[in-house]
Amino acid sequence: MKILVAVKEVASLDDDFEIRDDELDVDEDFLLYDLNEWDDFSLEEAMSIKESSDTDVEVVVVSVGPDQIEESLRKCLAKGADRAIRVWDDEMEGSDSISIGRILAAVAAKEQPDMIFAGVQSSDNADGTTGISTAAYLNWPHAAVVAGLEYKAGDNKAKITRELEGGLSQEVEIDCPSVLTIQLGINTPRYASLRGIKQAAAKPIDEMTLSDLDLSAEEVGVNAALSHVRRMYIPEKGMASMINGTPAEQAAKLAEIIKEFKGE
Amino acid sequence: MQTLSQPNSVIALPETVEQLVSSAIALGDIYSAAAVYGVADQDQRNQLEHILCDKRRDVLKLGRWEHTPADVLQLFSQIEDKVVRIRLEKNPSTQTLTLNGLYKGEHNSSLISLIAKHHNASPEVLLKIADEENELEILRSLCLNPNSDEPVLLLVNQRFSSDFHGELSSHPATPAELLEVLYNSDDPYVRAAVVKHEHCPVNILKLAAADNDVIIRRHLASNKNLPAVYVQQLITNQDSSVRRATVTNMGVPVNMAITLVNDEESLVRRALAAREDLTSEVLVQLAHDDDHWVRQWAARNPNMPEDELERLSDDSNFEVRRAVARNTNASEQLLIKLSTDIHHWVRAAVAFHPKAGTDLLQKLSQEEDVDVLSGVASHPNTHPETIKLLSESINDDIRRAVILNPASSRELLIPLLEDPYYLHRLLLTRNKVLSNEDKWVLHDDPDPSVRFSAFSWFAKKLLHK
Repeated sequence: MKILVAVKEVASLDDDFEIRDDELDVDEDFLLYDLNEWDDFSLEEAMSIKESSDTDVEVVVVSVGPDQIEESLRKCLAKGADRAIRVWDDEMEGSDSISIGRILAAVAAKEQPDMIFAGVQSSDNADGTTGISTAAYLNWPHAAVVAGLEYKAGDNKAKITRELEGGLSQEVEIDCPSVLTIQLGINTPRYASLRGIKQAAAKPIDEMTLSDLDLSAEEVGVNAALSHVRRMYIPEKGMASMINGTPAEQAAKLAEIIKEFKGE
Repeated sequence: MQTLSQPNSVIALPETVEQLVSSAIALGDIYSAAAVYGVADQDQRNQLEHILCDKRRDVLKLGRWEHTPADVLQLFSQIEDKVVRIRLEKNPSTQTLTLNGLYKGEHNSSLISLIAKHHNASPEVLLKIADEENELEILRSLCLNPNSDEPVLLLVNQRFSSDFHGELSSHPATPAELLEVLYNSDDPYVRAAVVKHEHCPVNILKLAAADNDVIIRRHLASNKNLPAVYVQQLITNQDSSVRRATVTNMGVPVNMAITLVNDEESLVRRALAAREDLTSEVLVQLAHDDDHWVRQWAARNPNMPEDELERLSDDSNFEVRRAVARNTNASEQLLIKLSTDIHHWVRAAVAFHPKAGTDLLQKLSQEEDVDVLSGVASHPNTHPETIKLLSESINDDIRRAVILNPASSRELLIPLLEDPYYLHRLLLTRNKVLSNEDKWVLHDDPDPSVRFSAFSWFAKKLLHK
């Protein structure tokens, strides 16, 4: 039994950031990198299936990106993933989330997993499409925003609870193998143990390129992308006013504003 | 398919500051370098500067980090980069000398505003800003900066007499003569702030006492130097907020405050019950109050008689019973009784009580509640075997309590040096029981803040060797 967990190293904004001269992204100096928050939950879900199983379960994490993403893959290894795969080729630069889905599907074709987990979305781009497009390229069943999962290694069906709008939940039975996009809060992700972190630093990370995946340069990268960033900018801020004066005056003004909003 | 791997490095325990700095240089890590920069000699500093300033993104990262040592921030102030300057001017650790240097070359008003707000800005720089700047927001920042002294505030008032009355009337350094001027304001809030001010002249207090405005009276009642002659008038004021402000004022003698023990407003009685200087007799009266907040405050007071504490330990409200369990004068017998309370918060208060004995803590250690177990784990009276068991808990709070327990032994703490939660390892860098050898394992910790803390601790230790 094998579970493939798709993860992403996401960028978060540092303070006082600047946009690049070409206005297509934030200046690299102002970006901080970390493992996507949703992926912590996907990995934990895979790990708990592995740990509660009587049979062997291999958890393999995969990510598409250049050298720097190895740090995030090592975090996953430190938490107990058995293997990590980094997929990269210069031709993949500029791939959109649909193309990433195509690449992950090609990895799945090689790895032959029994289940694929991905985060609902990444915190930087928030497309929410990578997991679902992977399923589409594989022609596998899929379920998005999974907030509960009942599944044992080897089962041919999984019972899932999906989170819907308005506080609704939906119970779904899904055929396996399938692709599930995992929601925050489905479990409590573990911390990597110190020993795990040190061991992970010495563990090998497998690398795959376009040729390993039988993909052509035309199928990935900026030219295959179905959407392109035209401009990134900071929109003009809305109206805000400071409440000045003595503390008592500020408190009184604040109380007035609250009353006004409440229609009193 | 290509396979990658990363090597491990081993650095020996340093015995001198020089060796420690060499270790940081060998690691090439910005956090370790920042921690030892202040203790390094000039040659080593040059090498550390190379590590610290090599990449702009590292400078930006450390420039905004609140733990970055002041001398590293001073180093960064030599770099010509507007974004770095913004971060230094915002960083609360940036020291006066660095800010003085930054101000000298600063022409950008939004950056001058950051210096005007900074709590380490010197009164000299603030005075210069008060003299040279015209933007109202910069000057408002000056009026809100606790470092602004009398000359700064007087100059702002002189240059912009009517714009900052609210801020000036509330600033602790505003002198009596300026307060006297401000009291002539038409704005009741400005006059109220003047009346509350520690430097408010007696003649203004007298005027305020004759004022019928509730805001003025409430602020007068809060004045720490309130003359006794006005207390009687304020304590019987019709407005409950004035009575409450009076009873909250610790400058008001307790014998006058207690006249409000039967006040019709529970908010007033709560404020009275929160006073620490109440006598047993008054506390007993408050212990029978209908309002559970009043009883709760009273139950916390160490002057509460034991028999009354005993009665309150049966109170229907669990917050009151918890207050009894937190009372420093609660007897061991009472703690034993409360250790079986139905509410876990009450039992947790018992577990944290300094008088809780070993047997009682042993009994509480059988519980499953995290708050109760955290109390047991942090208690110096807990049996070492019990602490050992708790140190293996899967709960972060419980293991942290073990680390914070002053009675935790070295043997017990050593396994926790590998705790998965970085904050726990960081706490152990400052632990007094662990040896240098024990702590040195943290020098190459995966978490940057742990490495910084470990190198900072060794720098301090070896410097004073």
